[in-house]
Amino acid sequence: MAKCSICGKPAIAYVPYQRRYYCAEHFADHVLSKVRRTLRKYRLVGGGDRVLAAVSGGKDSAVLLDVLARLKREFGYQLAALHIDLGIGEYSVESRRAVESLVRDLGVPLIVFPVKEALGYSIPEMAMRLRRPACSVCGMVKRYIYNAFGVEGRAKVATGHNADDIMSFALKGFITQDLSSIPKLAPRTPGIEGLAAERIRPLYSVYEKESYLYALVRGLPHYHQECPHARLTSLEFRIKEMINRLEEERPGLKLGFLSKHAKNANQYPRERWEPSPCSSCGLLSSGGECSFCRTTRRLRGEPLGRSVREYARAQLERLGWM
Amino acid sequence: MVRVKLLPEGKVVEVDLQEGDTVRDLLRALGLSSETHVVLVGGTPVPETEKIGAGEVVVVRVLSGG
Repeated sequence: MAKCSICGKPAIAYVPYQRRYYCAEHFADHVLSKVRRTLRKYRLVGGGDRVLAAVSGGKDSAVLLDVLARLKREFGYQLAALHIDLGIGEYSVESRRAVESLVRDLGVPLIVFPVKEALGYSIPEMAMRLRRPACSVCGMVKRYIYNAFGVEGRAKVATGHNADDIMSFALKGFITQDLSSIPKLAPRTPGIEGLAAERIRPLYSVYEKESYLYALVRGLPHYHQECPHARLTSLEFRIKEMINRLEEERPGLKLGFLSKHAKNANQYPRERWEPSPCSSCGLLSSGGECSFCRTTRRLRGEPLGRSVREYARAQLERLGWM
Repeated sequence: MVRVKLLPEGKVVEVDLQEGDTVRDLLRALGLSSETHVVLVGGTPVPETEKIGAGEVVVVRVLSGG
């Protein structure tokens, strides 16, 4: 039976790119130190920062919240969790339940944004009325809400994107020749004063398998089911599978990609639009009204950006973040 | 013979293994990558280099989203 390369206890995982075995405890240490290195190397957080962790209920954001809670004192930031209840039937009910149990275990304050109550429609209802794919509506709504909370709370928004998400997203950008999308999931995306919150991705170098194992060995409450709208035949998913076949043959391939990707982020063409304040809500727009205000105007007869910002302020006040 | 439960879908399949086969051999027989799947025996994860005998195992696909 394989033994932990550090303490000799029975191993639960082998990390091929290090040629090391780990027991549960030392595996968790391994992941935690990867995150610590990412936070330092890319200067993602510092003393006095406010970090708002976006938690979906899935494994990656559970890992994100756990590691951020563990490293909070060392780096000196304040931490809270933000969950968006998308209203996608049983999936959203279970996800929210997992998040509530996670924050209770970790002792992190939680803000919930209930999409259906706040916007009048759930994500699937919006998609149906707009005749748009659910995932595109969902992405747009989530980005807007994270940004509104980040700007109002003068906080950095942390997401649980892992190494596999980042590499597959970049490769998809190359395959579709959407070159300006390639550097979007860098370790950090700087904010724009009053318009856009800074985004940080602490799990940048954590492999998806490492994230799953970390959640398992730490016993982190999470919901390991796919969103009913996700498709295993999607280009991004197929690219993930392909990358991992290569990783299996060439351990460390993903790590090599990631450190170069972060370095080369400004070598790719930039998007052609200039950021400007939305004419309705004042947050980031590519000109005129932002897509969230335009979409909610179509659905409800009035843009809802301002009311989301108000909701955010009320919730953040409860945290003492206003 | 190993009885394999595939998660998150919940499908159950049976695989014939040779003496001395490892977790990685089991995954290969299923056409799965050890980078995207974790094998659990009795709820505990097992490294892909470990030998595996007859019995019941759970194979979890760790990839999500698309």
